[in-house]
Amino acid sequence: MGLPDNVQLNPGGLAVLWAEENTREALFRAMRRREAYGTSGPRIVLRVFGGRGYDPNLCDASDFAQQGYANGVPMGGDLPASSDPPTLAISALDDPGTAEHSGAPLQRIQVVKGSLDGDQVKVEVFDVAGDANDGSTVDTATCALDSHGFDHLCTVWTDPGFDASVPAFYYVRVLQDPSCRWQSWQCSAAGITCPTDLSAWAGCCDDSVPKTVQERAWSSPIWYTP
Amino acid sequence: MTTLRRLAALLALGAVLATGQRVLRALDAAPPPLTVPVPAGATAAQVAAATREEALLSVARAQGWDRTDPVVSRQLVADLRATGVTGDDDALLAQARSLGLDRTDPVIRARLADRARRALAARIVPDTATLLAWRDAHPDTFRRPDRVRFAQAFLATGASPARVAALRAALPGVDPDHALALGDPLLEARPVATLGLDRTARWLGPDVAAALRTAPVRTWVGPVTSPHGLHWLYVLERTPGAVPPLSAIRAEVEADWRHAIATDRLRARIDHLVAAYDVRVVRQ
Repeated sequence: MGLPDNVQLNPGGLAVLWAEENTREALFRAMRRREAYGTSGPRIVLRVFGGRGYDPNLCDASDFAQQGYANGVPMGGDLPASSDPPTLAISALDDPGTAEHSGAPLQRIQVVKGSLDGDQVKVEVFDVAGDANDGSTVDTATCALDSHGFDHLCTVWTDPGFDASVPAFYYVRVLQDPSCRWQSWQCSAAGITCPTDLSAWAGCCDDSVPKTVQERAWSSPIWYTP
Repeated sequence: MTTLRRLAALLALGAVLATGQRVLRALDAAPPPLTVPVPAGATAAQVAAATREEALLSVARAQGWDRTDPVVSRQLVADLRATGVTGDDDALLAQARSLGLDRTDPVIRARLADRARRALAARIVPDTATLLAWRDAHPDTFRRPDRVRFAQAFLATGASPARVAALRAALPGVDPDHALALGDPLLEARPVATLGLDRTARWLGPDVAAALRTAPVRTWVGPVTSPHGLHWLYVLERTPGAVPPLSAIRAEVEADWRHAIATDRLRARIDHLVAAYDVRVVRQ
Protein backbone atom coordinates (compact mmCIF):
# COMPACT_ATOMS: atom_id res chain seq x y z
CA MET A 1 0.00 0.00 0.00
CA GLY A 2 1.01 3.61 -0.50
CA LEU A 3 0.66 6.43 -2.97
CA PRO A 4 1.18 6.02 -6.72
CA ASP A 5 4.55 6.88 -8.23
CA ASN A 6 3.47 10.30 -9.44
CA VAL A 7 1.50 12.00 -6.72
CA GLN A 8 1.23 15.14 -8.85
CA LEU A 9 -1.25 13.53 -11.23
CA ASN A 10 -4.96 14.10 -10.84
CA PRO A 11 -7.00 11.09 -11.88
CA GLY A 12 -10.73 10.74 -12.02
CA GLY A 13 -12.13 13.50 -14.21
CA LEU A 14 -15.54 13.16 -15.77
CA ALA A 15 -16.87 14.14 -19.18
CA VAL A 16 -20.56 14.94 -19.35
CA LEU A 17 -22.85 15.13 -22.37
CA TRP A 18 -26.26 16.72 -22.53
CA ALA A 19 -28.12 14.23 -24.70
CA GLU A 20 -31.80 13.69 -25.34
CA GLU A 21 -31.51 10.08 -24.27
CA ASN A 22 -28.89 7.52 -23.36
CA THR A 23 -28.41 6.04 -26.81
CA ARG A 24 -25.38 5.89 -29.05
CA GLU A 25 -27.00 8.17 -31.62
CA ALA A 26 -28.04 10.78 -29.08
CA LEU A 27 -24.62 10.77 -27.44
CA PHE A 28 -22.86 11.32 -30.75
CA ARG A 29 -25.30 14.10 -31.64
CA ALA A 30 -24.42 15.77 -28.34
CA MET A 31 -20.71 15.47 -29.09
CA ARG A 32 -21.16 16.91 -32.58
CA ARG A 33 -22.95 19.96 -31.24
CA ARG A 34 -20.31 20.18 -28.45
CA GLU A 35 -22.94 20.21 -25.73
CA ALA A 36 -20.55 18.87 -23.16
CA TYR A 37 -18.68 19.79 -20.05
CA GLY A 38 -15.96 18.35 -17.89
CA THR A 39 -15.38 18.04 -14.20
CA SER A 40 -12.31 17.24 -12.17
CA GLY A 41 -14.26 14.40 -10.54
CA PRO A 42 -17.40 15.55 -8.74
CA ARG A 43 -20.82 15.13 -10.27
CA ILE A 44 -21.60 18.82 -10.56
CA VAL A 45 -24.63 19.51 -12.75
CA LEU A 46 -24.00 22.46 -15.05
CA ARG A 47 -26.25 24.17 -17.54
CA VAL A 48 -25.07 27.09 -19.67
CA PHE A 49 -27.02 28.88 -22.37
CA GLY A 50 -26.06 31.90 -24.41
CA GLY A 51 -28.40 34.27 -26.15
CA ARG A 52 -29.95 37.68 -26.05
CA GLY A 53 -32.97 38.76 -24.13
CA TYR A 54 -33.05 36.08 -21.45
CA ASP A 55 -35.41 36.93 -18.63
CA PRO A 56 -33.29 38.37 -15.77
CA ASN A 57 -35.43 36.25 -13.42
CA LEU A 58 -34.79 33.06 -15.34
CA CYS A 59 -33.18 31.50 -12.27
CA ASP A 60 -36.56 31.57 -10.54
CA ALA A 61 -38.22 29.66 -13.35
CA SER A 62 -38.91 25.96 -13.09
CA ASP A 63 -38.22 25.53 -16.82
CA PHE A 64 -34.70 26.98 -16.91
CA ALA A 65 -33.44 24.59 -19.56
CA GLN A 66 -36.50 24.87 -21.77
CA GLN A 67 -36.21 28.65 -21.83
CA GLY A 68 -32.47 28.35 -22.34
CA TYR A 69 -32.92 26.31 -25.49
CA ALA A 70 -35.86 28.35 -26.71
CA ASN A 71 -34.10 31.71 -26.51
CA GLY A 72 -30.48 30.90 -27.25
CA VAL A 73 -27.88 28.19 -27.72
CA PRO A 74 -26.51 25.68 -25.21
CA MET A 75 -22.85 25.27 -24.26
CA GLY A 76 -20.80 24.51 -27.34
CA GLY A 77 -23.11 26.53 -29.57
CA ASP A 78 -22.55 29.55 -31.81
CA LEU A 79 -24.16 32.86 -30.98
CA PRO A 80 -25.80 34.57 -33.91
CA ALA A 81 -24.16 37.82 -35.02
CA SER A 82 -25.73 40.85 -33.40
CA SER A 83 -24.72 44.22 -32.01
CA ASP A 84 -26.43 43.38 -28.72
CA PRO A 85 -24.20 42.00 -25.97
CA PRO A 86 -24.74 38.32 -25.30
CA THR A 87 -26.28 37.06 -22.08
CA LEU A 88 -25.29 33.80 -20.43
CA ALA A 89 -27.80 31.89 -18.32
CA ILE A 90 -25.86 29.64 -15.96
CA SER A 91 -27.12 27.20 -13.37
CA ALA A 92 -25.07 24.72 -11.35
CA LEU A 93 -26.01 22.17 -8.73
CA ASP A 94 -23.46 20.72 -6.35
CA ASP A 95 -22.56 17.06 -5.99
CA PRO A 96 -24.54 15.71 -3.03
CA GLY A 97 -21.85 13.11 -2.39
CA THR A 98 -22.51 9.73 -0.88
CA ALA A 99 -23.71 8.42 2.45
CA GLU A 100 -20.05 8.07 3.48
CA HIS A 101 -18.71 11.35 2.10
CA SER A 102 -20.86 14.37 1.48
CA GLY A 103 -19.86 16.49 -1.50
CA ALA A 104 -18.32 19.93 -1.11
CA PRO A 105 -20.66 22.85 -1.78
CA LEU A 106 -20.10 25.27 -4.64
CA GLN A 107 -18.02 28.37 -4.01
CA ARG A 108 -18.58 30.46 -7.16
CA ILE A 109 -19.19 30.56 -10.86
CA GLN A 110 -16.77 32.26 -13.21
CA VAL A 111 -17.18 33.24 -16.84
CA VAL A 112 -13.97 33.07 -18.83
CA LYS A 113 -14.11 35.25 -21.92
CA GLY A 114 -11.57 35.10 -24.69
CA SER A 115 -11.47 37.68 -27.45
CA LEU A 116 -9.09 39.03 -30.01
CA ASP A 117 -7.16 42.16 -29.08
CA GLY A 118 -5.36 42.90 -32.31
CA ASP A 119 -3.63 39.63 -33.07
CA GLN A 120 -3.44 38.62 -29.40
CA VAL A 121 -5.97 36.55 -27.49
CA LYS A 122 -7.24 38.50 -24.51
CA VAL A 123 -8.63 36.43 -21.63
CA GLU A 124 -10.85 37.91 -18.95
CA VAL A 125 -12.30 36.14 -15.92
CA PHE A 126 -15.50 37.33 -14.29
CA ASP A 127 -16.86 36.13 -10.94
CA VAL A 128 -20.58 36.05 -11.69
CA ALA A 129 -22.15 34.12 -8.80
CA GLY A 130 -21.21 32.84 -5.35
CA ASP A 131 -18.51 34.16 -3.07
CA ALA A 132 -14.76 33.63 -3.42
CA ASN A 133 -14.35 34.44 0.26
CA ASP A 134 -17.14 32.37 1.74
CA GLY A 135 -15.00 31.40 4.73
CA SER A 136 -14.92 27.69 4.03
CA THR A 137 -12.05 25.67 5.43
CA VAL A 138 -10.90 22.09 5.37
CA ASP A 139 -9.00 20.17 8.02
CA THR A 140 -6.34 18.36 6.02
CA ALA A 141 -5.64 15.95 8.88
CA THR A 142 -9.18 14.58 8.91
CA CYS A 143 -10.52 16.00 5.62
CA ALA A 144 -13.51 17.38 7.52
CA LEU A 145 -15.14 20.35 5.79
CA ASP A 146 -16.35 23.54 7.35
CA SER A 147 -18.14 24.74 4.26
CA HIS A 148 -20.21 27.87 3.84
CA GLY A 149 -20.72 27.52 0.11
CA PHE A 150 -23.79 27.00 -1.99
CA ASP A 151 -25.73 23.91 -3.01
CA HIS A 152 -27.02 25.72 -6.06
CA LEU A 153 -25.79 28.76 -7.96
CA CYS A 154 -27.62 30.42 -10.78
CA THR A 155 -27.21 33.69 -12.60
CA VAL A 156 -28.07 35.54 -15.76
CA TRP A 157 -25.01 37.54 -16.82
CA THR A 158 -24.52 39.97 -19.66
CA ASP A 159 -21.08 40.71 -21.07
CA PRO A 160 -20.23 44.29 -19.98
CA GLY A 161 -17.49 44.76 -22.57
CA PHE A 162 -18.95 43.27 -25.71
CA ASP A 163 -17.59 44.46 -29.04
CA ALA A 164 -19.72 43.12 -31.86
CA SER A 165 -16.82 43.40 -34.31
CA VAL A 166 -14.50 41.10 -32.34
CA PRO A 167 -14.63 37.28 -32.29
CA ALA A 168 -15.04 35.90 -28.79
CA PHE A 169 -15.72 32.79 -26.78
CA TYR A 170 -17.23 32.33 -23.35
CA TYR A 171 -16.88 29.33 -21.11
CA VAL A 172 -18.02 28.77 -17.56
CA ARG A 173 -16.03 27.48 -14.63
CA VAL A 174 -17.76 26.30 -11.46
CA LEU A 175 -15.55 26.00 -8.39
CA GLN A 176 -16.31 23.97 -5.31
CA ASP A 177 -15.24 24.99 -1.85
CA PRO A 178 -11.78 23.64 -1.03
CA SER A 179 -11.66 19.98 -0.08
CA CYS A 180 -8.98 17.39 0.52
CA ARG A 181 -6.98 16.50 -2.53
CA TRP A 182 -7.10 12.77 -3.24
CA GLN A 183 -3.75 11.97 -1.66
CA SER A 184 -4.80 13.75 1.54
CA TRP A 185 -7.76 11.37 1.80
CA GLN A 186 -5.41 8.41 1.53
CA CYS A 187 -2.86 9.88 3.91
CA SER A 188 -5.60 10.65 6.42
CA ALA A 189 -7.12 7.18 6.12
CA ALA A 190 -3.70 5.57 6.58
CA GLY A 191 -2.98 7.71 9.64
CA ILE A 192 0.29 9.08 8.28
CA THR A 193 1.97 11.72 10.40
CA CYS A 194 4.77 13.87 9.06
CA PRO A 195 7.63 13.41 8.83
CA THR A 196 7.31 9.75 7.92
CA ASP A 197 9.92 7.08 7.30
CA LEU A 198 7.53 5.15 5.07
CA SER A 199 8.86 5.79 1.58
CA ALA A 200 5.62 4.70 -0.08
CA TRP A 201 3.85 7.52 1.76
CA ALA A 202 6.50 10.19 1.27
CA GLY A 203 4.04 12.15 -0.89
CA CYS A 204 1.96 12.80 2.22
CA CYS A 205 4.74 14.99 3.57
CA ASP A 206 5.87 16.59 0.31
CA ASP A 207 5.17 20.30 0.65
CA SER A 208 5.23 20.75 -3.11
CA VAL A 209 2.03 18.70 -3.36
CA PRO A 210 -1.07 20.69 -2.42
CA LYS A 211 -3.08 19.22 0.44
CA THR A 212 -6.36 20.66 -0.78
CA VAL A 213 -7.98 21.23 -4.12
CA GLN A 214 -10.88 23.15 -5.54
CA GLU A 215 -12.69 20.59 -7.63
CA ARG A 216 -14.48 22.13 -10.56
CA ALA A 217 -16.58 21.86 -13.66
CA TRP A 218 -15.93 23.70 -16.92
CA SER A 219 -18.23 24.03 -19.86
CA SER A 220 -17.65 23.90 -23.57
CA PRO A 221 -17.33 27.46 -24.88
CA ILE A 222 -20.11 29.38 -26.55
CA TRP A 223 -18.68 31.08 -29.62
CA TYR A 224 -19.29 34.47 -31.16
CA THR A 225 -18.18 35.26 -34.68
CA PRO A 226 -19.02 38.68 -36.17
CA MET B 1 7.45 -26.41 -37.39
CA THR B 2 5.48 -29.13 -39.04
CA THR B 3 3.85 -28.49 -42.38
CA LEU B 4 0.47 -29.03 -40.74
CA ARG B 5 1.10 -26.38 -38.10
CA ARG B 6 2.37 -23.96 -40.66
CA LEU B 7 -0.66 -24.66 -42.81
CA ALA B 8 -2.97 -23.90 -39.90
CA ALA B 9 -1.15 -20.71 -39.01
CA LEU B 10 -1.05 -19.44 -42.53
CA LEU B 11 -4.69 -20.28 -43.08
CA ALA B 12 -5.57 -18.26 -40.01
CA LEU B 13 -3.47 -15.46 -41.35
CA GLY B 14 -4.84 -15.91 -44.83
CA ALA B 15 -8.43 -15.67 -43.70
CA VAL B 16 -7.78 -12.05 -43.03
CA LEU B 17 -4.86 -11.19 -45.11
CA ALA B 18 -4.44 -13.04 -48.29
CA THR B 19 -6.10 -15.03 -50.94
CA GLY B 20 -5.99 -18.78 -50.77
CA GLN B 21 -3.61 -18.80 -53.69
CA ARG B 22 -1.16 -16.68 -51.79
CA VAL B 23 -1.32 -19.02 -48.83
CA LEU B 24 -0.73 -22.07 -51.00
CA ARG B 25 2.20 -20.40 -52.68
CA ALA B 26 3.64 -19.63 -49.28
CA LEU B 27 3.31 -23.24 -48.26
CA ASP B 28 5.46 -24.36 -51.12
CA ALA B 29 8.27 -22.15 -49.97
CA ALA B 30 10.19 -21.93 -46.76
CA PRO B 31 8.52 -19.91 -43.98
CA PRO B 32 8.76 -16.25 -44.88
CA PRO B 33 11.52 -14.47 -43.00
CA LEU B 34 10.66 -11.87 -40.40
CA THR B 35 13.54 -9.63 -39.41
CA VAL B 36 13.11 -8.10 -35.98
CA PRO B 37 15.59 -5.34 -35.10
CA VAL B 38 15.92 -4.78 -31.36
CA PRO B 39 18.33 -2.84 -29.14
CA ALA B 40 21.41 -4.81 -28.10
CA GLY B 41 20.27 -5.05 -24.51
CA ALA B 42 16.64 -5.91 -25.21
CA THR B 43 15.03 -8.29 -22.73
CA ALA B 44 13.15 -11.39 -23.77
CA ALA B 45 9.86 -9.62 -23.22
CA GLN B 46 10.98 -6.69 -25.37
CA VAL B 47 12.08 -9.06 -28.12
CA ALA B 48 8.73 -10.83 -27.99
CA ALA B 49 6.84 -7.53 -28.19
CA ALA B 50 8.98 -6.34 -31.09
CA THR B 51 8.42 -9.64 -32.87
CA ARG B 52 4.67 -9.35 -32.52
CA GLU B 53 4.79 -5.80 -33.84
CA GLU B 54 6.87 -6.83 -36.86
CA ALA B 55 4.46 -9.67 -37.59
CA LEU B 56 1.55 -7.25 -37.51
CA LEU B 57 3.43 -4.80 -39.72
CA SER B 58 4.10 -7.60 -42.16
CA VAL B 59 0.39 -8.30 -42.25
CA ALA B 60 -0.40 -4.63 -42.85
CA ARG B 61 2.13 -4.36 -45.65
CA ALA B 62 0.84 -7.55 -47.27
CA GLN B 63 -2.54 -5.84 -47.40
CA GLY B 64 -0.98 -2.75 -48.95
CA TRP B 65 -2.11 -0.52 -46.10
CA ASP B 66 1.30 1.16 -45.98
CA ARG B 67 0.47 2.55 -49.43
CA THR B 68 -3.28 3.10 -49.16
CA ASP B 69 -3.93 4.17 -45.57
CA PRO B 70 -4.70 7.92 -45.54
CA VAL B 71 -3.26 8.37 -42.04
CA VAL B 72 0.05 6.97 -43.24
CA SER B 73 0.11 9.29 -46.25
CA ARG B 74 -0.69 12.35 -44.15
CA GLN B 75 1.98 11.45 -41.63
CA LEU B 76 4.63 10.96 -44.32
CA VAL B 77 3.89 14.34 -45.83
CA ALA B 78 3.86 15.95 -42.39
CA ASP B 79 7.20 14.35 -41.55
CA LEU B 80 8.90 16.06 -44.45
CA ARG B 81 7.13 19.38 -44.07
CA ALA B 82 8.26 19.44 -40.44
CA THR B 83 11.85 19.39 -41.65
CA GLY B 84 11.26 22.34 -43.96
CA VAL B 85 10.95 20.43 -47.21
CA THR B 86 8.46 22.04 -49.58
CA GLY B 87 6.56 20.74 -52.55
CA ASP B 88 3.23 19.23 -53.40
CA ASP B 89 1.91 16.31 -51.42
CA ASP B 90 2.58 13.69 -54.10
CA ALA B 91 6.22 14.70 -54.40
CA LEU B 92 6.70 14.74 -50.64
CA LEU B 93 5.02 11.36 -50.35
CA ALA B 94 7.34 9.81 -52.88
CA GLN B 95 10.37 11.37 -51.23
CA ALA B 96 9.31 10.19 -47.78
CA ARG B 97 8.89 6.63 -49.04
CA SER B 98 12.25 6.72 -50.78
CA LEU B 99 13.78 7.71 -47.46
CA GLY B 100 12.10 4.73 -45.80
CA LEU B 101 10.05 6.85 -43.41
CA ASP B 102 7.08 4.53 -43.94
CA ARG B 103 9.10 1.80 -42.21
CA THR B 104 10.64 3.86 -39.40
CA ASP B 105 8.13 6.52 -38.38
CA PRO B 106 6.72 5.38 -35.01
CA VAL B 107 3.31 6.90 -35.70
CA ILE B 108 3.03 5.01 -38.95
CA ARG B 109 4.24 1.79 -37.40
CA ALA B 110 1.72 2.14 -34.60
CA ARG B 111 -1.07 2.91 -37.06
CA LEU B 112 -0.31 -0.09 -39.27
CA ALA B 113 0.18 -2.47 -36.36
CA ASP B 114 -3.07 -1.31 -34.79
CA ARG B 115 -4.96 -1.74 -38.04
CA ALA B 116 -3.66 -5.28 -38.40
CA ARG B 117 -4.46 -5.97 -34.76
CA ARG B 118 -8.03 -4.77 -35.25
CA ALA B 119 -8.39 -6.85 -38.39
CA LEU B 120 -7.38 -9.93 -36.42
CA ALA B 121 -9.62 -8.98 -33.50
CA ALA B 122 -12.59 -8.60 -35.81
CA ARG B 123 -12.24 -12.27 -36.64
CA ILE B 124 -12.89 -13.17 -33.02
CA VAL B 125 -16.66 -13.30 -32.86
CA PRO B 126 -18.42 -14.78 -29.83
CA ASP B 127 -21.55 -16.79 -30.50
CA THR B 128 -24.83 -16.28 -28.68
CA ALA B 129 -24.21 -19.09 -26.23
CA THR B 130 -20.90 -17.56 -25.25
CA LEU B 131 -22.48 -14.17 -24.65
CA LEU B 132 -25.37 -15.64 -22.70
CA ALA B 133 -22.96 -17.50 -20.47
CA TRP B 134 -20.92 -14.34 -20.00
CA ARG B 135 -23.98 -12.30 -19.08
CA ASP B 136 -25.19 -14.93 -16.64
CA ALA B 137 -21.78 -15.23 -15.03
CA HIS B 138 -21.62 -11.47 -14.40
CA PRO B 139 -25.15 -10.41 -13.45
CA ASP B 140 -24.00 -7.44 -11.38
CA THR B 141 -22.25 -5.96 -14.39
CA PHE B 142 -25.38 -5.93 -16.49
CA ARG B 143 -28.16 -5.57 -13.95
CA ARG B 144 -30.27 -2.46 -14.44
CA PRO B 145 -30.91 -0.57 -11.20
CA ASP B 146 -34.19 -0.37 -9.39
CA ARG B 147 -36.19 2.43 -10.97
CA VAL B 148 -38.77 4.70 -9.48
CA ARG B 149 -41.33 6.99 -11.06
CA PHE B 150 -42.05 9.89 -8.78
CA ALA B 151 -43.22 13.46 -8.38
CA GLN B 152 -41.74 15.91 -5.95
CA ALA B 153 -42.01 19.34 -4.44
CA PHE B 154 -38.90 21.20 -3.40
CA LEU B 155 -37.84 24.12 -1.24
CA ALA B 156 -34.26 25.37 -1.36
CA THR B 157 -32.05 25.39 1.71
CA GLY B 158 -33.02 28.23 4.01
CA ALA B 159 -36.72 28.32 3.16
CA SER B 160 -38.73 29.98 5.90
CA PRO B 161 -40.86 27.88 8.27
CA ALA B 162 -43.91 29.63 6.89
CA ARG B 163 -43.15 28.45 3.34
CA VAL B 164 -42.46 24.95 4.61
CA ALA B 165 -45.76 24.90 6.46
CA ALA B 166 -47.65 26.29 3.47
CA LEU B 167 -46.24 23.71 1.08
CA ARG B 168 -46.86 20.89 3.52
CA ALA B 169 -50.47 21.99 3.88
CA ALA B 170 -51.02 22.38 0.15
CA LEU B 171 -49.63 19.08 -1.06
CA PRO B 172 -52.46 16.71 -0.13
CA GLY B 173 -54.84 18.58 -2.40
CA VAL B 174 -52.49 18.98 -5.36
CA ASP B 175 -52.20 16.85 -8.46
CA PRO B 176 -48.68 15.36 -8.08
CA ASP B 177 -47.92 16.40 -11.67
CA HIS B 178 -48.22 20.02 -10.59
CA ALA B 179 -46.50 19.87 -7.21
CA LEU B 180 -43.06 20.88 -8.47
CA ALA B 181 -44.39 24.27 -9.54
CA LEU B 182 -45.47 25.05 -5.96
CA GLY B 183 -41.91 25.24 -4.61
CA ASP B 184 -38.50 26.45 -5.71
CA PRO B 185 -36.83 25.61 -9.01
CA LEU B 186 -34.46 22.66 -8.88
CA LEU B 187 -32.06 22.16 -11.75
CA GLU B 188 -33.06 19.21 -13.93
CA ALA B 189 -36.16 18.43 -11.89
CA ARG B 190 -39.23 17.35 -13.83
CA PRO B 191 -42.81 17.27 -12.59
CA VAL B 192 -42.71 13.49 -12.90
CA ALA B 193 -39.41 11.67 -13.38
CA THR B 194 -38.50 8.04 -13.93
CA LEU B 195 -34.99 7.40 -12.73
CA GLY B 196 -32.73 4.65 -11.48
CA LEU B 197 -32.20 4.87 -7.76
CA ASP B 198 -28.46 5.05 -8.30
CA ARG B 199 -28.88 8.06 -10.57
CA THR B 200 -31.24 9.63 -8.06
CA ALA B 201 -28.69 9.22 -5.28
CA ARG B 202 -26.05 11.00 -7.36
CA TRP B 203 -28.43 13.85 -8.11
CA LEU B 204 -30.34 14.32 -4.87
CA GLY B 205 -28.20 12.46 -2.38
CA PRO B 206 -28.49 9.15 -0.56
CA ASP B 207 -31.25 10.19 1.83
CA VAL B 208 -33.68 11.07 -0.93
CA ALA B 209 -32.80 7.86 -2.77
CA ALA B 210 -33.38 5.85 0.41
CA ALA B 211 -36.76 7.50 0.91
CA LEU B 212 -37.77 6.76 -2.66
CA ARG B 213 -36.81 3.14 -2.12
CA THR B 214 -39.10 2.69 0.89
CA ALA B 215 -41.85 5.32 0.71
CA PRO B 216 -45.43 4.06 0.36
CA VAL B 217 -46.84 4.39 -3.13
CA ARG B 218 -49.17 7.28 -3.97
CA THR B 219 -48.63 9.03 -0.66
CA TRP B 220 -46.75 12.26 0.01
CA VAL B 221 -43.77 11.77 2.32
CA GLY B 222 -41.32 14.35 3.57
CA PRO B 223 -39.70 16.64 3.85
CA VAL B 224 -36.53 14.70 3.19
CA THR B 225 -33.39 16.78 3.50
CA SER B 226 -30.81 16.73 0.75
CA PRO B 227 -27.76 18.95 0.23
CA HIS B 228 -29.99 21.06 -2.02
CA GLY B 229 -32.92 21.59 0.33
CA LEU B 230 -36.18 19.94 1.35
CA HIS B 231 -38.00 17.41 -0.81
CA TRP B 232 -41.53 16.05 -0.56
CA LEU B 233 -41.80 12.84 -2.54
CA TYR B 234 -44.73 11.06 -4.16
CA VAL B 235 -43.86 7.62 -5.54
CA LEU B 236 -46.03 6.55 -8.44
CA GLU B 237 -44.39 3.27 -9.35
CA ARG B 238 -41.31 1.16 -8.67
CA THR B 239 -39.69 -1.18 -11.14
CA PRO B 240 -37.28 -3.73 -9.66
CA GLY B 241 -33.88 -3.90 -11.26
CA ALA B 242 -33.16 -6.88 -13.49
CA VAL B 243 -30.66 -8.27 -15.94
CA PRO B 244 -32.10 -7.49 -19.40
CA PRO B 245 -32.50 -10.13 -22.09
CA LEU B 246 -29.43 -10.60 -24.23
CA SER B 247 -31.15 -9.14 -27.27
CA ALA B 248 -31.40 -5.80 -25.47
CA ILE B 249 -27.77 -5.62 -24.32
CA ARG B 250 -25.90 -7.80 -26.79
CA ALA B 251 -23.45 -5.06 -27.81
CA GLU B 252 -22.76 -4.21 -24.17
CA VAL B 253 -22.17 -7.85 -23.24
CA GLU B 254 -19.94 -8.40 -26.25
CA ALA B 255 -17.89 -5.30 -25.42
CA ASP B 256 -17.41 -6.51 -21.87
CA TRP B 257 -16.53 -10.00 -23.06
CA ARG B 258 -14.05 -8.61 -25.55
CA HIS B 259 -12.44 -6.47 -22.90
CA ALA B 260 -12.00 -9.43 -20.60
CA ILE B 261 -11.46 -12.34 -22.97
CA ALA B 262 -10.67 -11.25 -26.47
CA THR B 263 -7.43 -9.57 -25.49
CA ASP B 264 -5.98 -12.93 -24.53
CA ARG B 265 -7.36 -14.57 -27.64
CA LEU B 266 -5.96 -11.84 -29.81
CA ARG B 267 -2.57 -12.32 -28.21
CA ALA B 268 -2.82 -16.03 -28.99
CA ARG B 269 -3.69 -15.22 -32.59
CA ILE B 270 -0.74 -12.92 -32.95
CA ASP B 271 1.53 -15.54 -31.41
CA HIS B 272 0.07 -18.01 -33.89
CA LEU B 273 0.88 -15.57 -36.65
CA VAL B 274 4.44 -15.13 -35.43
CA ALA B 275 4.86 -18.90 -35.49
CA ALA B 276 4.25 -18.87 -39.24
CA TYR B 277 7.42 -16.88 -39.82
CA ASP B 278 11.10 -17.66 -39.75
CA VAL B 279 11.91 -15.04 -37.12
CA ARG B 280 15.38 -13.54 -37.20
CA VAL B 281 16.14 -11.23 -34.28
CA VAL B 282 18.84 -8.70 -35.06
CA ARG B 283 20.37 -7.02 -32.05
CA GLN B 284 21.66 -3.52 -32.93
